[in-house]
Amino acid sequence: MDLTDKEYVERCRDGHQEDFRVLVDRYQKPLFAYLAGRLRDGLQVEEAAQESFVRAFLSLKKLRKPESFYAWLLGIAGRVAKEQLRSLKHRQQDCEVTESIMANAADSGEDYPLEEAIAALPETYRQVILLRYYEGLSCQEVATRLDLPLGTVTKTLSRAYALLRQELAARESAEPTVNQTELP
Amino acid sequence: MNCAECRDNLVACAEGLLDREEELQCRAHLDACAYCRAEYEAITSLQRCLIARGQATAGVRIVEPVMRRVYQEQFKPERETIMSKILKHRWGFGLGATAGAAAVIIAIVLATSPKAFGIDQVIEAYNKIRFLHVKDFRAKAQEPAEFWIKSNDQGQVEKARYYLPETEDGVKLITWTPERTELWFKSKRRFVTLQTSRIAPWMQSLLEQSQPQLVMKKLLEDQKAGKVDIRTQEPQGEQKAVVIVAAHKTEPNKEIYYVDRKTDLITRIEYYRIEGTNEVLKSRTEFSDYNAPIAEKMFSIRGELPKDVRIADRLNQVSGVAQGNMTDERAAAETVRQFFQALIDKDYKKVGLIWCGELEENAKEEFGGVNVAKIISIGPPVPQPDWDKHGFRVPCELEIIHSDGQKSIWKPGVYVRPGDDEMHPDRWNITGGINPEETAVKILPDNTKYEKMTPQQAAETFFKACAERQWDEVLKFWPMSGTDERFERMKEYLGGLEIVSIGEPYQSGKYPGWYVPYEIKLRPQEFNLRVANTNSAKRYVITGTYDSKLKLQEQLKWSNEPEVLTNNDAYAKMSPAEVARAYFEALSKRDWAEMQKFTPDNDVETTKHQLEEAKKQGMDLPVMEAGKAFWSAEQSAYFVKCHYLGYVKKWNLAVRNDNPANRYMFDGGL
Repeated sequence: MDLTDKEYVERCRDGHQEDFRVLVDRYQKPLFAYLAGRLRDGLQVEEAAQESFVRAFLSLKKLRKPESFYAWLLGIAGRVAKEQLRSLKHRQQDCEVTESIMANAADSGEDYPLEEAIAALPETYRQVILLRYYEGLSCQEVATRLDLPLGTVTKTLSRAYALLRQELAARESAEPTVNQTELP
Repeated sequence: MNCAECRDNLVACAEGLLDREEELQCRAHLDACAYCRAEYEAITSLQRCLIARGQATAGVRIVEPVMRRVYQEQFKPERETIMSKILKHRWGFGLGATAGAAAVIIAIVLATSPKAFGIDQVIEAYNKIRFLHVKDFRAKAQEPAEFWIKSNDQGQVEKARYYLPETEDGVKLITWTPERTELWFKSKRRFVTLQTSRIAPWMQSLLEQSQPQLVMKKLLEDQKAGKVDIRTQEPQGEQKAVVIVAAHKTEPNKEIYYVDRKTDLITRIEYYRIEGTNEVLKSRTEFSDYNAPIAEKMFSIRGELPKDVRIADRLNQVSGVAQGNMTDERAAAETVRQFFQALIDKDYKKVGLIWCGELEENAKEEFGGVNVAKIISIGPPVPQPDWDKHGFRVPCELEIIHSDGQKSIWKPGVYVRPGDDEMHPDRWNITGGINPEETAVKILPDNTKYEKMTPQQAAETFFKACAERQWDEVLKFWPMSGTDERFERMKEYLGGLEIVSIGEPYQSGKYPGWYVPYEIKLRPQEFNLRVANTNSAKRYVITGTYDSKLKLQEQLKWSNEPEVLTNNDAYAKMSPAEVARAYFEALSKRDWAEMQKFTPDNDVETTKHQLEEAKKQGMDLPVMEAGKAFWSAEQSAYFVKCHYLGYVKKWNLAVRNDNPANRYMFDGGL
């Protein structure tokens, strides 16, 4: 069975940097989806995703709650995205203010709360959601991979959906909180 | 199956994991129980979102590139530099965020100079910035964009004002406070008050661009990525600024930052583009009046408005139509229906409210002449996926009655979307697609003849009428009044033309009409150049272009006085006509430096741009000749009579027939 995020973070800190590969593999897709909601251009998204992982790796020692690795990673990605937009805006500063006030600004993407809500899930639930949807495994395959009975997987999914919906509803009426989590 | 059992099985049911009998029981319960059905729909809706996310990122593979970069970063030596200190201070994340324990190596003079850059003072200086004035000069712009920003103790923007002289909407002036945003579209004579938070981040980014910490950080990141070379020069002699030159390696760009040695604040950033061996200045941003208090009245425009401005108030009145329980499509169609019903009822207050909150008198002025008799059809709405937020184009058919009692069908495509009023995101407003001028298109007595014309035939008939100066005929293809000022200009421009060829029409993008390629030869035309020598160099320079009747076409603004040339005397002796001739000669030789002696820099840039554009269309600028100079007592100025020889224009005429008369009319491309 795979190790938890906390265990991988601790191993990386102990000098097993190769283990960071597992964390990248685990979160590359949801991170991509998160950034795609903020940045529209595919190349920019890829660049920002890479940059976020590199910054996360270089700051791993400062992460106080290793079990919250993914939420922390999203916080970093949020800042990377902001910097990219800022530098882009500066270069394209043709001052299309009507664009920015009469229409939604490019940086007010609306698609990322789902990834933030996933980040807020306890790891057991998050793991099942990631495997089922971002890795594209069936429930049976998830069960085999995690060595769990199929019924436990569907129950975990059921609980994860409830938590996600609860989280999304709460986010609708409040600002995203992920960026206020621990800073690198 | 009861509710509790059903709930236990919902996910398995949605996943298709139940056996046949269980599934039938579950489905039967769902059919009967709205509560469980709603739960089931919520789950499947969330599943759909998650599946879409998974599919969209299925091909993502960045493990290897990330790991390569991780290993590279590991082997970078650690070194603390003055730049990194600047970055760490105050902002908290510094290089730790970009390079972690391994700080970036910066091989710049700055780093070795213990007192260089006065870091502490820089930080101190920026911590105290409350007021800032920014000017943004674009190479081809006549005037700079200007910004005035007031920030609070935490460095957050509190109030802002900006002046944008050149936008797609013409001149714009905007003031922002958290409670109130005012927008004055000067060229369009429109004024809007609203509440929005969308401007603040932009102002904040501008404020932050003036912070050396962030500017340096961006430079260092680019340097780290091998994208930029950084060179820093300490001030020498009388020079007051520290100069940081950043040359990009992957793109032909270069920036120069000037940091005032005395105040440690950035005063100017210049942006260059490398073209061959030349460095062409594309724009420059100047930061000035640091902490010079800005008068409170600068942050509101209301008191500056002339009387003839149309006002839309979205602060004190709720505009648009509420969505309620309607679907988006329904809401879009209903908004349009209510708008036209209000027009039928002559309820201009309501018309204005749905038209983005315009005042009643403005709505009446705009639509008072449109006499809608009845709504024939509305919709179905067509989504506009290119918009930043969802919106629709709603095709409509309306019966209108002209002043002579004649009836016709008007088919506008109305644009409608929700949330323009940030405080009421559920309300739908009409944002465009209604041109009252279209309703002036009358059905001609011999309309059938024109209705039958193909786009190509319409274009040919139009140009033929221009060639023969049959202006009544021309107006059948151009929805404007014969007394319109544009009509006079068109007569002068197109009268007597010669048709070279009319090509096969084609359609493109979402444009509902047709493009007809054409080639015409325009007749020689007369114009006048205004010249003046009331400058410190005492030589004649060009200050404006005028048509043959001395009507201003374009004023040439000299933002700086004409330079006193090394051989200024020779130029000071030139007569107005000689100046015009010398200018045309320089233009024909593409001698930009010589042209700059007669017109402002930005005019030369515009000319270059026009030449490039003309070249793309397979054209050249016409040959221009200068004639005699004369004094106009009326204008108190010298003019030189000029003309350009007839030239060939190749372009595409845009025509469309979605108007009450169903005939192809001119819509652009001249």
